[in-house]
Amino acid sequence: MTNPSNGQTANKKEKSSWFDKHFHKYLFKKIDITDENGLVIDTIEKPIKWGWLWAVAIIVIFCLCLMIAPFKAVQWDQLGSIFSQLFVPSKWSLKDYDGWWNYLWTKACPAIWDTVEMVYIATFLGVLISIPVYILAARNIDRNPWIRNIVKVVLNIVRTIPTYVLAIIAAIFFGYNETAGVFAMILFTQGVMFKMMFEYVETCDMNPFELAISSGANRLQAYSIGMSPQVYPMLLSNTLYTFEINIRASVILGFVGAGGIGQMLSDAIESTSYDKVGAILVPLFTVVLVLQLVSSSLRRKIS
Amino acid sequence: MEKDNTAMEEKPLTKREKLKVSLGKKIIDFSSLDQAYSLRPRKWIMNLVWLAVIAAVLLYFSLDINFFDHFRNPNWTKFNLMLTGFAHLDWSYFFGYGSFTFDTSVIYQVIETFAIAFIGTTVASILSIPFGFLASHRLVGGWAYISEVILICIRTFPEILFGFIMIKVVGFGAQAGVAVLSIHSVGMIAKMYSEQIDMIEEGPLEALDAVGASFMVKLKLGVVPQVKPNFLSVILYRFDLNIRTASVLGLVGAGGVGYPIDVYSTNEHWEQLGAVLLGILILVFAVDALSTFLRKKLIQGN
Repeated sequence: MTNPSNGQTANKKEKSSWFDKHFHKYLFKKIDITDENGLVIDTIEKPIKWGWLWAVAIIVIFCLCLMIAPFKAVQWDQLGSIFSQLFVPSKWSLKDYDGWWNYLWTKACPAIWDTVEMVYIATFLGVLISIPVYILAARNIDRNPWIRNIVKVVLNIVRTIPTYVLAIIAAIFFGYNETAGVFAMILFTQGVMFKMMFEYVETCDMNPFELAISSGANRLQAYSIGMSPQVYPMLLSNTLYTFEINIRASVILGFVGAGGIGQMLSDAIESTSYDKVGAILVPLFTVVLVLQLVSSSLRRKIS
Repeated sequence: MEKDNTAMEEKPLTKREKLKVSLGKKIIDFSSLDQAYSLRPRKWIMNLVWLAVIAAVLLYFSLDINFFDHFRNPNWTKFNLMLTGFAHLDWSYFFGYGSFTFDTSVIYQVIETFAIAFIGTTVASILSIPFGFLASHRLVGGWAYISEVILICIRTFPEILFGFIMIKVVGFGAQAGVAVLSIHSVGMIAKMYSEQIDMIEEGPLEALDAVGASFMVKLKLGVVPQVKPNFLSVILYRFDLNIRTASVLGLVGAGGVGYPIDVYSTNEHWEQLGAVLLGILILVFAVDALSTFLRKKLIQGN
């Protein structure tokens, strides 16, 4: 059996891109090398250094941006006073430390548990959806360029939509509740997983896959026996990673009304009761930190 | 060796051992090919068990937050209203003519979001150089843990809450967004800097040592050329993320395109909401494509 997929990639790499075709002359200068008699022995291409131009461009854009978004020095004492208010119950909202702890255990912790449930559902459903999608988008598995490119274009558009925009649209559809947040996170998760996984699948070792095909398997069977053992550890580690991202993203989702801990946080902020914010922040910080440590240690173990 | 092999043949595996092998215990010495085949690892059993556990938890959680109840009753009328609103975009709001001035148009707010992200990323990438060097285990050894803990705390703090605090400190508008991004991005950029610094090759540094180069020359010729492309690609990646973060920060009033989204979605002005969403999509898509392209060029070394 020949190896058409590898042949295709080789051809693609040799082809110069649109950028190289039009801008190559600005990036490289042709220099003739002559001998003593003035005859041209060889021409070489020397890269032109545009580094200073980049620096100038960045400084100019920076100054232009400063006109729109001014940079103001932070008043640290005021920042300190806000941070100290987080952990001192005020007489307007929670009264004393009993009320503060009560709020932390009976209100904040269940809300965080809700958030964890949302993230769990969203992560696993998103990963489940992404599996067939990235198989369809990988160049070495799916040889139909139409399907591949359509999947890629659609997924790239979905991936660029910010999560909270998805949440707003989902909230209009499902109402302002947890389902909207879960729906937004599913789309977000599968966009991220798609991006990371199909690039990984394209760099996988093709020999087991071709071996399976040459012994009579169809492409799906060949994938499951030759490719998925290679992909599996990466899939697990990326799942943990997206779980971690989703926990952080879920705080933002609450601000647009899609349930979870963010909703409580935004209510507390709107009523300017900093002690409630602090009581929410403590368990949130703990959960995010623990999940981050667990997932990073697990990922190190897997890879 | 031969004795060992005969011993294996004389003592066949018990049922318990067979089960252990089929659940993933590895044996390297087999007495025959047939035995090796019969004892092949049956990973699908454990996979099925794990899948069942995950599915059961999934079901329990989705019942707990009433996932299916909400899922079954979508609000089609509102959704259709929204779609018709999106089909008739408010172009006067998008470009800032008619009843809208340029200061309140979508284009101005998109530019503002871009400016916030740009300044925030630039300032953060400069601020995080010392943090990155201090968090590198190869340079400072055990002391790196202090810097690492600070960076983890910065990363874990929700940026939207930080934005809210910054509004109280530096005032409403774009300056709050700039302050948030230039402090919050340090958490990730400095961590990735330190990873890159830890991966530096010793060869060039040893060569420079051999010719008696000073510290600054070693930094200029030995360190900077190795880390520059990676640092730039980290900054570009973070810029891509910061565009999204800057648009989120508007939700609490820290400038940019998030604030009109909040207002128009709660007041159900779909024509204006569609215009704002279009503006965000164009911005995010353009910056994403640009950053991916430039990073590819950087990695190739052009």
